[in-house]
Amino acid sequence: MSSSVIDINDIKKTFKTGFYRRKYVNALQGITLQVGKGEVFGLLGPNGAGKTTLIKILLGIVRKQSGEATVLGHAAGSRAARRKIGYLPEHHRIPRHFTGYSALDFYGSLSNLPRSVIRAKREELLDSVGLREWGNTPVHQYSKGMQQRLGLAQAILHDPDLLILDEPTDGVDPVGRAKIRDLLDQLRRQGKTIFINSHLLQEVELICDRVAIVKQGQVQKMGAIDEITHLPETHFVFELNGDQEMISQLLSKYEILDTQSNGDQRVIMDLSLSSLEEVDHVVDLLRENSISILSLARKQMTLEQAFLNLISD
Amino acid sequence: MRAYLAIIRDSFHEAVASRVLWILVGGITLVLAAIAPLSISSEPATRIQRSEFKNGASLIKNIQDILQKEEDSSSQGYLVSKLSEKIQHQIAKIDEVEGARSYYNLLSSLRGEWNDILKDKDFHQEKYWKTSSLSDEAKKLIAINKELRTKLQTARLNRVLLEKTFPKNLKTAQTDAIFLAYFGRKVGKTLPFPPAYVNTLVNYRILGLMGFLGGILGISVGIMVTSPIIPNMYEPGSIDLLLSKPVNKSLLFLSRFAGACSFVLLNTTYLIVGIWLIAGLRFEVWNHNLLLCIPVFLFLFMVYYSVSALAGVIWRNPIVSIVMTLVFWSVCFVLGTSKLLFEGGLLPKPVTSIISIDDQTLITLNNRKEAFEWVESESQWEEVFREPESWANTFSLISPIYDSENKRLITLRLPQSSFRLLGGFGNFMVGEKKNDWKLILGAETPSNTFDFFKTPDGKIRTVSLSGVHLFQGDISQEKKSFKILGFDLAPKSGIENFKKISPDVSWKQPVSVAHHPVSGDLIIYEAGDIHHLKLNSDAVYEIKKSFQLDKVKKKNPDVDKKILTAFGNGQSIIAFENGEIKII
Repeated sequence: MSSSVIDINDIKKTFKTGFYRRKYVNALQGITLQVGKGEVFGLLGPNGAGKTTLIKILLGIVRKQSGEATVLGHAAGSRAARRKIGYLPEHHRIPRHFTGYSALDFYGSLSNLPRSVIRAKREELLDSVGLREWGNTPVHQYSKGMQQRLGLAQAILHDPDLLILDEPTDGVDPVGRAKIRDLLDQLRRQGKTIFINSHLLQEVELICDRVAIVKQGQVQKMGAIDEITHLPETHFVFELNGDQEMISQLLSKYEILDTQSNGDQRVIMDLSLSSLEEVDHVVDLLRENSISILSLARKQMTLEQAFLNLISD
Repeated sequence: MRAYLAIIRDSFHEAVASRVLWILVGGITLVLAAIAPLSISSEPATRIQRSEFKNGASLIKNIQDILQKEEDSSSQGYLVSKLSEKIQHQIAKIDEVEGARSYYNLLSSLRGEWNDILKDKDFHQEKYWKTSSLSDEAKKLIAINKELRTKLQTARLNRVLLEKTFPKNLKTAQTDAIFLAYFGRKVGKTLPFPPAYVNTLVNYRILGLMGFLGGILGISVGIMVTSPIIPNMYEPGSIDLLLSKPVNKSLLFLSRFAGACSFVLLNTTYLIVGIWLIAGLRFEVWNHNLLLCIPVFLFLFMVYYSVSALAGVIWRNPIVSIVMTLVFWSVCFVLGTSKLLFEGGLLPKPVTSIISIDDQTLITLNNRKEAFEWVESESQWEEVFREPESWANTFSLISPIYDSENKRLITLRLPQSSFRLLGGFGNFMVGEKKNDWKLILGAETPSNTFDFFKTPDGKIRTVSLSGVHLFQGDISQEKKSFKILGFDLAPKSGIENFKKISPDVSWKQPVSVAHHPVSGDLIIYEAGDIHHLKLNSDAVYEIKKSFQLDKVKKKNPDVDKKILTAFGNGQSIIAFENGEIKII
């Protein structure tokens, strides 16, 4: 038995579409990944990459074609596994006739929680997602963001070991997002494993320990955020004050990757330097020619840039 | 279990929240409130009903003879003279060859004029009806001054006089006539039934009401209201959330199905218990079988809802679910109607028994419990009675026998198998000539009685699954009951008039008995076995011989449910439903 909370090994899934003329769509083409205990894992990918299909296979909503998957040591989709999972689906629909409290009563009962336990927890839970005052309000009066937060509350109601969140901050305002981030951070500290599927890469960058980027049913890249956004240590960005032409002539023997200037003596220059000696030499050269150095930094990539680079290949 | 109960509860929660439950409960309350003021009231019977004419053709012939006379000073002549010239002319002209339709129309016109005569204060003339020959009721009415008589008293007197004038052609009216009342006010005309038929009438009407409210309206509304439940559950955002919980997919579906059914059960129970209470409290008709409609309607709903739910799973659209259910209903309706049409209308109704009464009258009974008497003068069969409670197949009748000493028909009314849950007791039914052979409920028989016969010395013996009994009481005496809310709390001691004249046995269905008319011996077929019972010197039956008739039938006794046995000349014949006949 694997020690991973989620252990996916060469999962494949093909959908049949069309009624008269059947077409086959390969949604997953051999995905393999592991998520460890207490990890916040992000699953990224463009629309149609197969992220939601993978989540549904983990929950047993969709059957896999081949491959192996276990969740918390149980076969993916088994009732034993589902008992320990909290799930927030994308575009979930909590029936209109529920209030915040009755929705928690219902979904808690489905997770086999005694009513007394649900009643004891529900107020605190709604408070944690910022819906304390809305427990008796019908769900159809909730905004999109409020419904999303209520969905998150029902997902953590039964104290699951693994949280699977499909676009958890979709439609939530910045304040609500911050609240959700705090809650997820709190859950991480409690040792919960969180598996997030999101398009909001800035959110993922802030929350996740590791991510996997999926394209056309295959994992393109997987690792820690730093690993994904890592660039060679030879890229340096200089912010200078001086004449652009003069600066370009001074540094002509170095590889200039990019130059930007707003026309008022302020120049941002991206250089490829092979060693720290070369950095010192460039600094000396600029200072000798009275060029002011406003800032100097090693160049970093955002997750969004890394994601775009990967999926545009 | 908690999860599935939560789903069932949620179906109610959804119905309550969407106000559908309140709308339905409100609608049912309105229906019940509309029915509740209905009642049946009675008044002395006066109006002549179509069914009260006897031998219509001979009546017309009588009137024709009177019209041909120059003068007729009899009461018949007086009555004919009261008819309008138009109808006198029509009667004089009608010819037998003109057919039944003309006779029917003429009798209708005649009935109309006679009903007008009922209002005539001056109709009674002493010279035509000698007071001494009239009934006590008529004498009392005549004693009242004609100007002081109420309309009802006048009509009642005239009706009695009409009956006296044409006793062979006009049946004696019941003492009371019944009519429908709403808030105590008479609605429509007097009903063409005697008061004794109120029970049957109300049951008929309830049956019709149930057929419409429950069978058509109830099921339709139920399907429309519950059709979105399954498609809503299968909406993408909803089903994913439900399936992520530790629940079984099949049980999740079945719980939703059960939720919809329990919602319909609640409404059906309210409607039917309401109608049952109204029938009991307003009409004193406590028909407990009505309560069986609750599970029956629920089952019917489940059949149709299965189609709706299946369509909901496939197409996930309530409208498509309703349409598919409607298509299924139409197919069932066409099949059912075709069956009824063929069985009820096109196929002949087989005669199940022919009874000869004193070698003068012949009565036949068909499989629909309709009895016909042969009218020699008109060379045709005339309907005598219809078994009133055959409407719901609640009971079956054993072929009647004629008791020549007491001049009456005796038969046995047995509960049908599906209603034996309410007890296996049957009743004798007795019909007398003076009541046009109409069958009246008589003494109760021991539990699980299945046949009876009359011995040459006129004694009645019944055969039940527990043995043979001799009846010693008054056969036309119905058992006294003690009822509260229609439930008979009197002990089921219908057997106090019966004496056991056989060993204790425990025979099984299917069972059939044949009686030797001279020796009194019995041959009993019982689930593959044959028993020969012989009377001893104490007139008690002893089992003389028992043997297995057929191994296959012993093993599978229910294959042939209808068995017929006959006994005579030292041989007995057993005929089975599949056409097989065995001679022993």
